[in-house]
Amino acid sequence: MRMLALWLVLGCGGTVQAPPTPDAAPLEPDAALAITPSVRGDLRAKTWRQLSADLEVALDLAPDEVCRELGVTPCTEVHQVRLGGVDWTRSLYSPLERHSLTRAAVLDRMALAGCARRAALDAEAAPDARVIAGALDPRAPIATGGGEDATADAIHTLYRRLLARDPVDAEVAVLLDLRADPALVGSTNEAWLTLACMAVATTTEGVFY
Amino acid sequence: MSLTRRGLLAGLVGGAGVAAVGTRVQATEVPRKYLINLACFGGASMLDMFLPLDVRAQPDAPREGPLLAYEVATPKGSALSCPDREVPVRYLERYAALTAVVGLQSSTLVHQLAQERILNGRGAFAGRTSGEAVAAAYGADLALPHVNMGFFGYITDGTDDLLPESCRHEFVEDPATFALATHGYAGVLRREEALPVDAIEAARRARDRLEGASPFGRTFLTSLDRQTLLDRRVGAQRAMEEADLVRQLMFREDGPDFPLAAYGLERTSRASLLRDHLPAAARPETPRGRLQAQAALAWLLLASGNTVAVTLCSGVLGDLQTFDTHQLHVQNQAVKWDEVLEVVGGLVELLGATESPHTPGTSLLDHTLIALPTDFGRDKRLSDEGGTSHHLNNAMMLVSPRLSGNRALGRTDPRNGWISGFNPDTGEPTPFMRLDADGVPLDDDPNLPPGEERLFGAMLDLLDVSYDGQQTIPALRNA
Repeated sequence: MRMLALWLVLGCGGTVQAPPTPDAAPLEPDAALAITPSVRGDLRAKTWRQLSADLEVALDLAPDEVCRELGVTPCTEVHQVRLGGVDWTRSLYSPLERHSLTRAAVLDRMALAGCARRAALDAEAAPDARVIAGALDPRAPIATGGGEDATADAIHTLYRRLLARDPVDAEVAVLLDLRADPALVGSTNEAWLTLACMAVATTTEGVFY
Repeated sequence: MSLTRRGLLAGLVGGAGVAAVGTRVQATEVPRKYLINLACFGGASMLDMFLPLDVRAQPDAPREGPLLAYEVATPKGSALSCPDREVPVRYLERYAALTAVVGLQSSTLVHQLAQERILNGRGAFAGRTSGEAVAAAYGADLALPHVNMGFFGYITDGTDDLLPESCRHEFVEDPATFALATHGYAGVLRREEALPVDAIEAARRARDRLEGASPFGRTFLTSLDRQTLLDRRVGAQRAMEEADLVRQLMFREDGPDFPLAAYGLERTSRASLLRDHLPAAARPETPRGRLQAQAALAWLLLASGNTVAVTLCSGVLGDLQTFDTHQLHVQNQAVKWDEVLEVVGGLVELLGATESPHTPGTSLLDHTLIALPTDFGRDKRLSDEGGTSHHLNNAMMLVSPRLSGNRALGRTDPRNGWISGFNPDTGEPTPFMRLDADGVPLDDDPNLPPGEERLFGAMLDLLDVSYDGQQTIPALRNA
């Protein structure tokens, strides 16, 4: 599903309300993108192999660069079963049929590690060799390092690489707001790139198909 | 007649004691209890441990060959006997008062099926496993109520559709690294590269907003799997992070191949106790170390206050020595029993030294049952090759201050090596009545030990968990 953008524009004008999550800001209805929820809602969780491969390609990283626990063991090895893998030594020959309680945390770990690695490499790279930063100087402070255009370009790059589509206006606005969040005061573009990348990569769109 | 607690508890429905959910009765205002299932894969034979036959008392030249028997020791203060070997003797000297051995007649000789049945009592409680039942009774509001480090049939889920999803077990592959899976960002980046916590939380809030704004999120609003992940993020994951389980459950030592400090983590302060009680936990690559590492995690999980039911398992596929002793029965049963008893002793000490996080002023041990479910028994005689096949007749070991310990319910019949049944109310052994021409009890002997259902019910009864139709063993409860 990551590779498709199914925008069903209906004339009925109904709005879709997401289930409430305690910390989420209210939805911003976009009448031009009125969407009818899928009747079946049939999604598949990405396995460790798919997650790693997607991050490798999106972030232009080698397999062993995406995530290593404590810098030593690949995350996909440490967390294989909870990421949809098997373990023959434990006679677990098929993936677990239900999601483990720790899957959510491990998804965050993999994305944070991979995104931080990419942002750090971009900080070392020449401007035309940056993979996600583009014209944004990763080493520059957020306050002074890059205008809205360069930032919006970086957001588009993240979406194209991670989710194979362009972001909608509301999504761009969310990530611009993140850049202006008080928690990032004094941070560099590298930090924002890491966090924006992690946020996009671990949306449900990024971890299901 | 064996009374169940259900009748008493049912009278309290709507009162202060319990809440009834259909036919499942759930204790809500009693102190939390804990269950550790130390599964002994393959068939841990009680004839080779706490219900042994004395080799000095064997009849001369028995027609069928000698029964398995040992030089037996009965340590001072223990009503239980054991093979005269250092580890079991030491175990009984220290922990006999907490230990009961209960005769059990399994219903199948198939490993996986036997393992499932011993955990779920052949479906006695709507298909719930004992771990699930305890998790539902005492842990439904906790972040990680039920953890399973077992394998084969010991990791089979129960079949009760009404069980809260969070009470199904969380499978743990490697206890030494599991702590890392409980946190979304601690220890991901090197200490000097770590991002401020506030910034990461801001990114998570942004992600929540992205979910609401995205066409994908709107399209798949009805996806249960998607909603489960979103719920887990604000539920279980948040609770695990706030409880700092990434540090509370970390018992592995800092080292070149596990650089905790470099990544801003540290071992739990409780880990200092492991050296005395589970020393091999530091070497999880060995079979003995692997089981001790599981026990270390089990203890830390209970101590953290986030878990109430844990399953460990002695053995994995590929182990050279298991309780499935088709070869070298005597030697392998000895090695595996010693390994298991060391762990039980270590757990008793650690749980006894740790205050219950839910009932201050008491220890975890006060509220814990350590059960040793095993597949089935073994033959009562060795084959010509020195091994044994599967056998339905056996006994199960239970350890807890909540039970009437230092006793065996059932007795080994010296004529045939079978373990007898017992009166569930008094615990008195009931001698076999119907023997075949070879002196072996017939299948319809009324004094065979009870099956999985009664053992299951009795275990849960010890933890004050009740259900419709529960069979118990009143003689097991500590007066």
